[in-house]
Amino acid sequence: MANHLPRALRWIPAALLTLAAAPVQASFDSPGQAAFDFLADDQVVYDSWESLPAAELFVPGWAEAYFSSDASVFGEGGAFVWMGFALDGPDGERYGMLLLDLDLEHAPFDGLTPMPAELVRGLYVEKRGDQVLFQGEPLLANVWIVDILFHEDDQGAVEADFAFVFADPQGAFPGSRVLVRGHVFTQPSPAQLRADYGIGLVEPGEEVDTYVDLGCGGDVYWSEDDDAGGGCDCEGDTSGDDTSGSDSCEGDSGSTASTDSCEGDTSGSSSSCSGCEGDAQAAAAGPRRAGGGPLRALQRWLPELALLACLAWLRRRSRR
Amino acid sequence: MTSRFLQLSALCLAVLLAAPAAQAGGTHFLVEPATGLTFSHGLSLEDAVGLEAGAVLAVGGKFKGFPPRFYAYFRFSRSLFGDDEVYVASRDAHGEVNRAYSNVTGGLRTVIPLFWRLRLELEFGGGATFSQNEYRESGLPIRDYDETLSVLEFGAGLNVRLFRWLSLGLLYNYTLVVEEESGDLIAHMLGEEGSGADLGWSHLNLTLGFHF
Repeated sequence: MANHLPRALRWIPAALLTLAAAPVQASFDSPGQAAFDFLADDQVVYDSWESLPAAELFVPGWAEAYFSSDASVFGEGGAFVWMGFALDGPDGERYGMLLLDLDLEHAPFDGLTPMPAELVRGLYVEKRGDQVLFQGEPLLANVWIVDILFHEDDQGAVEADFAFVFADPQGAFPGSRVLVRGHVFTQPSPAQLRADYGIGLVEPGEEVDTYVDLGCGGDVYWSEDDDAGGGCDCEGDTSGDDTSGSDSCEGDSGSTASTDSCEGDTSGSSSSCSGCEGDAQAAAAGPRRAGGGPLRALQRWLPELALLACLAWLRRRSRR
Repeated sequence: MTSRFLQLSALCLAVLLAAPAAQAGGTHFLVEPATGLTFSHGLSLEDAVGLEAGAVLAVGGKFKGFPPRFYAYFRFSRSLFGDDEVYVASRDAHGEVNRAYSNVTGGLRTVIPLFWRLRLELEFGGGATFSQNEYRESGLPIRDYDETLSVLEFGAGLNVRLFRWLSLGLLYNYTLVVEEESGDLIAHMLGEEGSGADLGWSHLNLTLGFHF
């Protein structure tokens, strides 16, 4: 037995390599959109949600967004979200940028429970040209993950609501910036992908381990532990049982129940409209399918094959 | 499209059949350092020209009575696009982009003798490109990230076999990303056309081949 041990040990690296190369269950690299209610106050720092002024004082905002797991400090399980938007200030046009970094792998997905503070990093910057007019960190922060589809590659999709109050902790920039009733989603949105691929909904409060597996021809999205969906549709048609949820959002079936307002910018709670406008645009663009094919498969398994071949050669050599 | 492909195939076949015997004696191994320029495609605002250096390791030979030689090659190269200041029109601001790409590819190289010591090289291969990206802008923290992309590459070049052990060549390669990309974070932040969803690179390199 002892004589055979060294030879047996030679297979351990191969096994470890195979385990180490297990697919990551989250990744995003997609454009998106965001809508929110915005307030800039150069005098007051709002230090509680109750202290915020009436909704009439907010202006609706819209931002382009980009989601990148590669750029996230949380790695493949996270998403760095960049949002940029033009603002009309009293002294001329400004440009606001909201930078979020979210640890999505450990976030609650029910759309009701806000992400724990340690899973959220944020920065808000307001500029005119190269001049920085405001820079603040989150004083108050809430992010709710409304719906999410992870992906082994970078075709994941996520939809979230958010509310932030930003202030400068150093006090160099007085006042605060408030972004509430915010809604941000990738394009295509999770709802769009669910509609297109017949992936079932996740009910609020339901405990799921939602992720995307490439088990169905390598090109569809699939939610594990999800009995309502009826499985993945390898044909890519839109015959999923995705009919519940919204009143007027075509093709939009976010996991939250009420979707009265489909303007995507002024709904009142965390379970707001799931971005009908954006989903319509996503529908026009069509869902992206995961890249793949023989080259990807070869690239995926090449290290294991090379190592096994090497070990087989070593074993053969040692027998001589 | 089909007729063009057929014409190209016929031309290649004609060149292969008409190829004269190689002037230099046969060797089986090649180490080929290369340096030159890389031109990026699919990023409309950033500097399109970068510097490249790398090397090819190859092993191959020829069939008896058939002049072209075939090599299995492995290439490693690195391209740098550094300190590129970009004007961001959407917010009237300036950003600085640093990108570097490490390419690891392998494939088949066919070397076809033309005349004298001049030879035509044709390559086809695949592999991975590892991109390193960094973005700086006033008011924003430095954002950097890496990305791995699956690529295919096609190449063509001319090569002079100066001695049995040495050759000099000029090689053009085109590398394209084969996986479907939705875009690139920096390209999106800059407002580049297409958001960097369709990336590709042209490589023009001087090569120095050591044969043994």
